[in-house]
Amino acid sequence: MVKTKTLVKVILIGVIEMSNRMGAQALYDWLQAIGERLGEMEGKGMEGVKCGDLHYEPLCPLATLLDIEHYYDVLPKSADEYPICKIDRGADKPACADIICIIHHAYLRKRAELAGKKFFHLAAKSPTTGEIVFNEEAIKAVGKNKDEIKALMEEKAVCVFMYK
Amino acid sequence: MNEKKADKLYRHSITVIKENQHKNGGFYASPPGTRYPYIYTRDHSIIALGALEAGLLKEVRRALEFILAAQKPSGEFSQRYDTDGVDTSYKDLQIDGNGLVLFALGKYYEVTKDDELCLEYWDVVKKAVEYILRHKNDEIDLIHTLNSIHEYPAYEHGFEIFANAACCAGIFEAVKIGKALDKDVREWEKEAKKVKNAIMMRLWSPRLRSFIKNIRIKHQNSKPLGYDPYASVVTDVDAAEYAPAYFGLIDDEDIRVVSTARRIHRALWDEELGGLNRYPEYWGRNNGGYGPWPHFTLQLARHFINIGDEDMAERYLSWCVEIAYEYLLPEHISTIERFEFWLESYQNANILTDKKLVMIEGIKQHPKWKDGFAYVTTPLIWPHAEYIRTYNLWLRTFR
Repeated sequence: MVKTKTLVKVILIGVIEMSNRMGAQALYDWLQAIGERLGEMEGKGMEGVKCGDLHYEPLCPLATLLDIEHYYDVLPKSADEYPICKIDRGADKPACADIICIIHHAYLRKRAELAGKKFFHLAAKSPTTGEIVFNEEAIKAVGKNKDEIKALMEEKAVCVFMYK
Repeated sequence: MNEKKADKLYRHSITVIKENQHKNGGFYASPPGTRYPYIYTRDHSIIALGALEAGLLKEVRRALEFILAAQKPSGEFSQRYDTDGVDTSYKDLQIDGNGLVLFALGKYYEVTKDDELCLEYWDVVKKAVEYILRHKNDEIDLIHTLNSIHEYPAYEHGFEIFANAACCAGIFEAVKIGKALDKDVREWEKEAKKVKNAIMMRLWSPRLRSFIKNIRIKHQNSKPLGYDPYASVVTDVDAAEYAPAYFGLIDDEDIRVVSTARRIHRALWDEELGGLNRYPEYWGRNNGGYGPWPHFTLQLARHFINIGDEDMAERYLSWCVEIAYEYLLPEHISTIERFEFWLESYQNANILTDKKLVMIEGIKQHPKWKDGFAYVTTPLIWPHAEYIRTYNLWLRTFR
């Protein structure tokens, strides 16, 4: 039976197929294009809970929709490497290389751009591995203290970002 | 009723509305530094209707320009915006916003015949109507929504009455404007009539002699609807069931509205505090403690005024006058005991968010706390708009 979450599996299988056929860079570009198109469709906007000049997500809206951790289990073991892309580092890049973070970053950045703002992804907790990753270049670029972001991540956030 | 106080509250309400319009045109839902310092499409549109009633035409025009320019590419109006018109929503689709913007624009046009504004934003109007109609289910002829007036999907996900009445009335207003501007709006009119008929037939219960809250359906395009996983009907009483009359789709004197209002009054009038609750306590989402809301009380007050029931009208209106603190109206009020019960339940369930902690602080710092009352979010601008609309109607009808 096709279940409510079948589309989640479709997305994951799509990721694997894209990577197998076209390689890691193509996968990254594809995920980014998806995020940007989503952002264009939504239009200008700023997201997350405001905390001073920082914004954060208390839970990842995409990971919540996808339930990716659960459905990741049902995929073949060889899929292990796919949720994490190889990405370049940089202030304008996603903090985390998880496929969800890449889409979400591109989406948030595009919406910010449409609102006339620059978007910086400062830290994220990988929805797949649970690891907290900081974007040192972005933190430096916005002139924030890493400890402040770390405290926010440890206390209540899964993703911290900033608009300038 | 203390008419001196009532009059002063009217004047102060106009000041509150003026003071809470940002220079870019948006009306804050509550002042900067309080709980809702953003422009919420629903609140903003209703505040514009209050401003219109007070004759603040320039302010209404600015408000409409703000919101029309903030439409999303899809045709949707967001849950909320910042003062620059940038989407800052944190909730899913609330399609009644589309209906409310069109409704407010139509009422403004009725008064001003401002062709220039409507022509300038005609494409926005078109996209707003088309967006609504894309959410219409052709099997049942109702508009599907995820949230509505209470932002509470558990009871509002499906074909909900407030969203349907708002959208239907909004399209009728767009039709009126379109006709005046010589546009072809026949298809919209046909569709709006279908929605209206469906509200009167499918969201009306002859057994309860009341409009009902919601036909709960998960997927807009489940076909047939009976196989949808949520398929069920919410017949619980909700102040929002007055919506068909609130939006002028049916007269207040109609027996269906009279009996719906009677059911709302019987079930939701708060015997301890007075005033009208928004829905039954057991729905369980009673932030700050269960209790009566001035803006729902004022909506129903207008029903009693419209049917000439002066006693009930005064009972409802005077309650709002009495609970206003320093001529400011809260979102709702509660008792300390109910507040504590709500707090305990949310703490135990581990669902108390940071924003709720800010709200709790505000409740405890309010001077009425010492008198035994929880005043939740004061002022909220929406009830001031409803007060202006209601007080004026009361004056015109009974004085």
